[in-house]
Amino acid sequence: MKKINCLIVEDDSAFQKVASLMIQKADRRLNLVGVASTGKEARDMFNRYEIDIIFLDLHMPDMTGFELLDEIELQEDTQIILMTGDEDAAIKAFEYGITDYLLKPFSGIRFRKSITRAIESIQKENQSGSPENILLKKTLQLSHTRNKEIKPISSRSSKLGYTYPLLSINLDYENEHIALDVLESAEKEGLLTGEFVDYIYSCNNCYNSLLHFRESCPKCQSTYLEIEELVHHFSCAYVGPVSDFTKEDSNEIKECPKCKRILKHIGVDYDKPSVMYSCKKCDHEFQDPHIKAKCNDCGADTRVERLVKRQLKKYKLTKLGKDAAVGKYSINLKGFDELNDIINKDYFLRLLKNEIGRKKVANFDSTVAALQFSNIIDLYQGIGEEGQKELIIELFEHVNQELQSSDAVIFGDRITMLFLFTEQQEEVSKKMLDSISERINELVKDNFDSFELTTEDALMLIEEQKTPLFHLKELMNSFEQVQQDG
Amino acid sequence: MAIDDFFIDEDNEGLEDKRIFEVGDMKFIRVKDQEPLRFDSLKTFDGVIIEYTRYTFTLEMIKNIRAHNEEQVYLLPLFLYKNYGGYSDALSEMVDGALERLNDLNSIAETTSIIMSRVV
Repeated sequence: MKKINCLIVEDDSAFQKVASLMIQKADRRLNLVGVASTGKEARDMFNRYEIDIIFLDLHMPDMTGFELLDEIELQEDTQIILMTGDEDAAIKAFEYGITDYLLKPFSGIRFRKSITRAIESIQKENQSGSPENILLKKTLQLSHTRNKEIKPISSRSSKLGYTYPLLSINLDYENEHIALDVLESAEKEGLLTGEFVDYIYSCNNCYNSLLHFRESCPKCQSTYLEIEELVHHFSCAYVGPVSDFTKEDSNEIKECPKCKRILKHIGVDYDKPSVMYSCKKCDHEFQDPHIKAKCNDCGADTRVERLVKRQLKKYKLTKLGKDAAVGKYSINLKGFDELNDIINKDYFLRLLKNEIGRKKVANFDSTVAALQFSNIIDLYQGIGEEGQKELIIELFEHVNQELQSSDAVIFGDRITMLFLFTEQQEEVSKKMLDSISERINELVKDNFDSFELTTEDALMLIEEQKTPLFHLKELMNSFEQVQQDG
Repeated sequence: MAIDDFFIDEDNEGLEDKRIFEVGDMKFIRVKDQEPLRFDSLKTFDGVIIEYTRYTFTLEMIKNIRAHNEEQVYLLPLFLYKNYGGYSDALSEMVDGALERLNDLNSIAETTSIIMSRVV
C-alpha cells in the first residue's frame, strides 16, 4: 500500500501536536513527514519530499499560506487542507484550488472527513491511468451522452487537415495525430466500429498534413526546374521540345526542324504527348521527376512515397464502448506504450543533461552519436505500421544488448538512433558505431529480402558548456548537410 | 458608433447583461468567449452558453471546458450564442447546439435534459 506523505505547516506548537495526533489516528496510510513552523521550513520540506497532502495554516511569522503556495511548485494531485481562523480567506482559498477549508476550531469528525476527501482525490488521480486511456474515456463519454458519431471534420487549422472534434479538442496541435492512434487502438479493442472516410498523407517527421508539393530533379533533388512541352510531328515522326519548333522571337509552333514542314493544327499535324523537365541547377533533363512534399511545420522535405499514409474513419460506439463510457468496463488500450520508451528524444536529452553535469565535475571524454537510416522509410512503406513497430523494437533490443551498461541508445524518431557513449574517446565510439551499423545492416538484409539499408552517422564529443539540445541539433544538422551535399 | 447602437435587439432586450438563466429547475450560465474563468466553478450549472465573438476565443473556451480533468466540467452541455451567422463545422461538432436569442431557452433545456439522462 502506497504511503501518503503529509506535511503540517503551522506556527502554533499546541496545534501542531493536535494535528499530528489526528493525522496519525485518521488513516494508517498517512505518513507525516514533517512539521514546519515557518514558510521557509515548509518550502524546504516540500522540495525535499514528495508531499501528497499539506495541512496549511494561513498565518505564519515569515509569510502567509497563500504566499507559500505561490512559491512552491504544486503537483496537480497535491491536496491542500487549509486550517485557519480567518473566515474571509475562504474565497481566495478556493481560487488556489484547495481541497478543503477548516475553520478553527474544528471537530475531529470534520478533520477526518477532510482527510477522507483528500485521500479519495489522490486515489482518483492515481487510478486515472495513461493519457490515452483518459482521452478515450472522455471521447466515449462525450459520444455516448450526445449520441454522436466520432467523425473527422475537414479543418485547415488542424495538424492533420482533419479534426475529430470530440477527441482532438483535448490535444494540443503538436499531438493531434495521437487521435488517430487512440481511435485505431480502440477499434482493435472492440470499443468502436469504424467506417472508411478518407486517406491522409502526413509528414514522416512530425505528422503534419499541411504539405507543399512540387517536382524535383531525380539527380540533385533541386526543385528549380524548367518544364517544356514535347511535340510529336506526325508526318516525319520527329519528337522534340517545343523550342525546337519555334523561333527565338516567337512562342508559336511553326517549322519542323527535321522535315522543315510547317505545323498548323494540333491533332492534325502534331500532338503534345508529354513534357520535358530540365534542372536549372545541374542541367539534368528528364521526363519523370520526383514529387517532393515539404512540411509546412517542421520543414522536412521528403519524397511523397515516404509520407505516412493514414486511414480516416468515422466511428460508432460498440456495446463494449458504451459500457466503457458509463464506467462498467475499464479501458486499457494496448500497444501504446510499446514505442514510447524506445522513441523518446526527451529521455535522451535528460540522459545527456546528466552526462554534461558529470563532465562539469570530472575530466573525461564522452560522446554522443546518431545513426540515420535514410531509406528505411521505403522499407516501412512495405511492412505497415505494425511491421514498423516490430522492426524498431527488434533493432532497439539488438543494439541495446551490444552496448555497455553505462551507455545508452534510444530512437530520436523512426529513422534515427541516438547513442550516448559514456567515458569513451571519439575514436572508440566511432568503432562501436560502425560495428553497430554493420550489424543492423546484416539484420535488415537477412530479414527483408536483401534490403540495402543506407546508413549515415554523426558523432561528437560532449561539450560541458553546451546544452543537451545543442548537441542533438548539431547531430541532426550534420545529416541535413549530408543530404544537401549528396 | 457601432451598427448595434442604431437598432434595438427586441429578442434580447433586457437580457444584455443577464448572466444566469433559469429554465425550470435548470440553471445556465452565459459567458463571453474571452472571459477569464475558473472552470471548476462551471460545474454548479447545468449548461454553459458561450457568447461567440471570435473563432479563436470560442475555440479556446470550449477547449478549456472539454479538456478539463473533471467529468462534471468536461461533460457539461455547451451552447454557442451569437445574434446572427453560422459557425464552422468543427466548432459546431464540439458543442451541443447554438442559439440566436436568449429569450427562449426551452430547446437547449431539452437538449441538456437528454444529455444529462445519459450521464451516469
